[in-house]
Amino acid sequence: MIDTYTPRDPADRCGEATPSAGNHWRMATLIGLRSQSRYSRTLALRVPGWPGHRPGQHVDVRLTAPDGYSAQRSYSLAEAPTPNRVAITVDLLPHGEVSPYLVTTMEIGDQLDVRGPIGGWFVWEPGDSAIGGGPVLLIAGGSGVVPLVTMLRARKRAGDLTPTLLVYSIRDPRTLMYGRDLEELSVDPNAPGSADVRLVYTRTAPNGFPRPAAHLSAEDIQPPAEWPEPRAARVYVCGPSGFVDHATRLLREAAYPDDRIRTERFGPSGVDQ
Amino acid sequence: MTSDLSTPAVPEGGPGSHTVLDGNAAAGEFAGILVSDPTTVTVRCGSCGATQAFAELRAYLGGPGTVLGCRGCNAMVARVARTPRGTWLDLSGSSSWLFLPTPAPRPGR
Repeated sequence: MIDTYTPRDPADRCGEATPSAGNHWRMATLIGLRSQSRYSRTLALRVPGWPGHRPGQHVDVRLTAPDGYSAQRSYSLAEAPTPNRVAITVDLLPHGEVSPYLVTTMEIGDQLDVRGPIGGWFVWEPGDSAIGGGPVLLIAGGSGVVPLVTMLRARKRAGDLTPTLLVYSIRDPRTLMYGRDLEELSVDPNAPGSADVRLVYTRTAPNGFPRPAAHLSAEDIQPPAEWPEPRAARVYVCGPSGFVDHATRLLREAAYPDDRIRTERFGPSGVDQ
Repeated sequence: MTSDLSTPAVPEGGPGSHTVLDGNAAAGEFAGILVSDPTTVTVRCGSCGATQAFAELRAYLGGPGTVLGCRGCNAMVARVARTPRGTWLDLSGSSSWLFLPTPAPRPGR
């Protein structure tokens, strides 16, 4: 792990020949911090010129050490689109090279480089004609919940009525991210933009929790009884590779065609499936 | 998504350098070269003929370049390497790339 990073000299900022919107590096300054769980926090960055983004897109983050060593990672965008502002939620990976800096060391006013927004595949915007009236199923493993919460917030903001279920798999209660947000999004099922939230604990469930701790199962992804259709029109799965493969298998066994499933995988992480 | 992986620019053989991700994680590298968003492009594998979204390709990010493989047969379909001489784009493993007619709506509305 490296302790200090500085953005690169703007002069060698663009290795890319023709930067078009979204794919050149911009300098970002940390302006806000919010703890999300014991092992994760949300970083708000001021990024002059950031054009805004679509729910589910991600951003590349680059840190450069004083000796020129640089490391680059991808993070999902964690807030509804706001010009000149980027937020990411970072989960601490104990042996990671970048996440310990972002989760424990980086301070307000520190800077790094960002590139984006990136990706149009793993995106859900309210009103997407390919999805129609839904329903939509969101399946998260660990910090894979970040882009899915961004989608939920965007539809809440839009008052979207598509029936939506989030199935969120975590190891134990300490690894729950966005606990309060998820409660707010699901507390009143009749409020516009509300979603069902189903928590799946894989190692340790809280006392009195009805479902015993176990890996994601076919039953966990069953649609709520009130859905008009037996299957979602679109499924988004985000998590570690093994989790995404497992969830995709369950979906195929539940007769989901591949063209309804959109997945995004991330690298080794401290979160369990 | 939090992919705590080193990119091709970083010489390392550390933990995670061989983890297989997907095309979403490689999109930033390709977006620097292509005019439009790569993730929604339908790519046909030159080896087995299977088609898949760029986002669904297998992505190897820890080596000397960003390498994309077919999710069906695992053959290499595309590769980007940044070198001092310039950026190499190798598409020899793919037979076609279908770009959707409607560009994605721009953000910031």
